[in-house]
Amino acid sequence: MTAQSTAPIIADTAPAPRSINTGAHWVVRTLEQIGVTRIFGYPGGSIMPVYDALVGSRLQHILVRHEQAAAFAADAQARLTGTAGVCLATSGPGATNLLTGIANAYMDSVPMVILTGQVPTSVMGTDAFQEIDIFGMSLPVCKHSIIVRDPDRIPELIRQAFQIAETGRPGPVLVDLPKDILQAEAHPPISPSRPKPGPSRSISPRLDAATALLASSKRPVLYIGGGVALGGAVDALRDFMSRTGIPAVATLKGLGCSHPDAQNFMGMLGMHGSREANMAVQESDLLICCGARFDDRATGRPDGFAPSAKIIHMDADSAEIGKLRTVDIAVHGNLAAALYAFDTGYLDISDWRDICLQRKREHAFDYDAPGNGIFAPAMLRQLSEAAGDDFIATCDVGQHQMWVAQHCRFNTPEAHLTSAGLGAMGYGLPAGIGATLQCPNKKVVTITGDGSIMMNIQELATARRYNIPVRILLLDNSSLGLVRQWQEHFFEENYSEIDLYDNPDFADVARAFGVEAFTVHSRDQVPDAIERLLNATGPILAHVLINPRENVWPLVPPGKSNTEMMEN
Amino acid sequence: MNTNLLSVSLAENEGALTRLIGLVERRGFSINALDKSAPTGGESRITMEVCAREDARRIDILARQVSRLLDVNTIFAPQDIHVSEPTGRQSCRPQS
Ligand SMILES: Cc1ncc(C[n+]2csc(CCOP(=O)(O)OP(=O)(O)O)c2C)c(N)n1
Repeated sequence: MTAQSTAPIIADTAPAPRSINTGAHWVVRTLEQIGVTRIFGYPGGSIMPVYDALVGSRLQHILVRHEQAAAFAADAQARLTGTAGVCLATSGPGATNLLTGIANAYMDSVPMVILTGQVPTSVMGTDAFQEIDIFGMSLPVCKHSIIVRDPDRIPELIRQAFQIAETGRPGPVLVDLPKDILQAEAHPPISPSRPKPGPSRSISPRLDAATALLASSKRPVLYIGGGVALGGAVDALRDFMSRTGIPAVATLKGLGCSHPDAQNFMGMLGMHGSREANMAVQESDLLICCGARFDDRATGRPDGFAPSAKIIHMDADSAEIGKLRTVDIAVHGNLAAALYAFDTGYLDISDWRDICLQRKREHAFDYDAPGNGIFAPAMLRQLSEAAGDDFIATCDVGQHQMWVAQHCRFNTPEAHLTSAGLGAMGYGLPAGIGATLQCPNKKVVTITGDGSIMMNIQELATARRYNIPVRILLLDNSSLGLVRQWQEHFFEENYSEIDLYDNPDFADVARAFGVEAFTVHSRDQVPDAIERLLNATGPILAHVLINPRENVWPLVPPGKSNTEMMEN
Repeated sequence: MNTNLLSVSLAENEGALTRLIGLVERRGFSINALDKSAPTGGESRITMEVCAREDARRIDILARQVSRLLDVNTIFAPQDIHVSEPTGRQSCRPQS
């Protein structure tokens, strides 16, 4: 440059035009090509090239305030769409913060693609700043994990991640992206558009034997799990239920598969299951397990579970068949096809049905509670009735989660988003955000407790920032209620570290975030509170004070069989 | 304790061996002996002698869990272990 130059200084210092063919651009471009429209994330050093490439992209990036929330929000979106949710974080702490959310998706078989930044390949393995082996840490909680070491393979490997996440039994897939790979020029070969695998119609040929077993059964029960929804078998299941009239029970994840008003639906089984559901299973002589996995929360003591029943186990994942209970007949493959093809022949189960229906009538829940205080089960019942078929609940973990499962009415499995396998407090609010963004015209309500909301309360800022009308119903019992209940019954009332007497005023907290909030003290305020919640157009929090001594009933004590239910 | 032999042909992908060994350990088996061949054609052969830490952990279930891994191409299980076809390949993405 000469002294006479009149060119503005800026022209000299401006960087050379940046390449739009870096690895990072291919990350963004590939997501766009796959049809992703929204990602949840949080920036930082190693992932900065991707954030750079996001500017001007068609992708909507939702900035959460903790990476765990990015994974939970992506999880909720995935449960609603059936396609992989996407979350994004930087290396080291960003990546480790995602892990609980990844584990949650893994336990509940939710398709998810996780993109993490990584330190440059030249320093990987040297304890570089913010270097963590997230690939290694992810192995136990991912269906698959990939480190990208060639920028030209970015489109291919990201497509592969989606394919793996969404096929067979869905699950999370992590793609670790070293910074130098993101910054390098990439010239990937033109990749073919994503193959759409047709649904596999195949089923193992054991249905004849199943028909014969059913024909000789006097007391069959259908045991419905989350695999029914994952396998797209809800219609087939409803058809099977009405064709046969067999009494049916559901796991926490199986709720919403049966029509809630189906006469032969007995509700949830297990630790907090209904008496009619647990008794039906215990007395059954044939259990038709459909996309469920004999989880200990559902079975109680395994040797006391359906002790005289033969088992037909239908599942898309052969590794689940026989894992915890020896089966008489395994039907492995497409659940919907199996249910439609299941020739039930002639069934004579009317006496059995009568017993089950009679019990269902006798044990109908009593929503009348003494006093003027708010009875959470009744409020939840009213809420779900008011919201109707547009209702989507996203739950946290604790007593309130069990009350939702017991007392809300779900007409589709997608209406009930809950952290079932992992039981992760903190899921509710981020999941509410993901669900509301995905289904803005539904009535999405986050039902949380005063313990759980504090695990991801910072996401009120996300709800405010994007004006996401997530409706938060905070059932405040000033304690870690479910733990308190266990201490009361199984630790001789030796209460330890469950008292949250010094909670902040949650309505004030919400308002400080710019979120509308109100407090509900007494039963007569409940109808108005529900109406206000459901009609909100922006984020809103109802702080509902409930009795700290309220418990979840029935309850099967840990280690006991499901017939040994404690009741109020 | 009963020991069983489990033998798989494994794609030479980054982390494939860790993933396989981690799965076996995590699912409640200890590895008494382990042999890995040098890779040929992008694949190596792993043979393990495994032992269940709890009586209830079954080798046929482990074999099916191993067969779900994407890096595992073939599993050569003892005669009495029935490993059915891998999980259906249908997509959960709504077909448009
Ligand atoms: C991340 C996490 N930590 C701890 C637990 C154990 N836990 C289960 S329920 C519960 C209490 C939840 O309290 P709250 O959210 O207030 O709900 P409540 O039971 O009172 O309805 C705890 C601590 C958990 N499930 N998740």
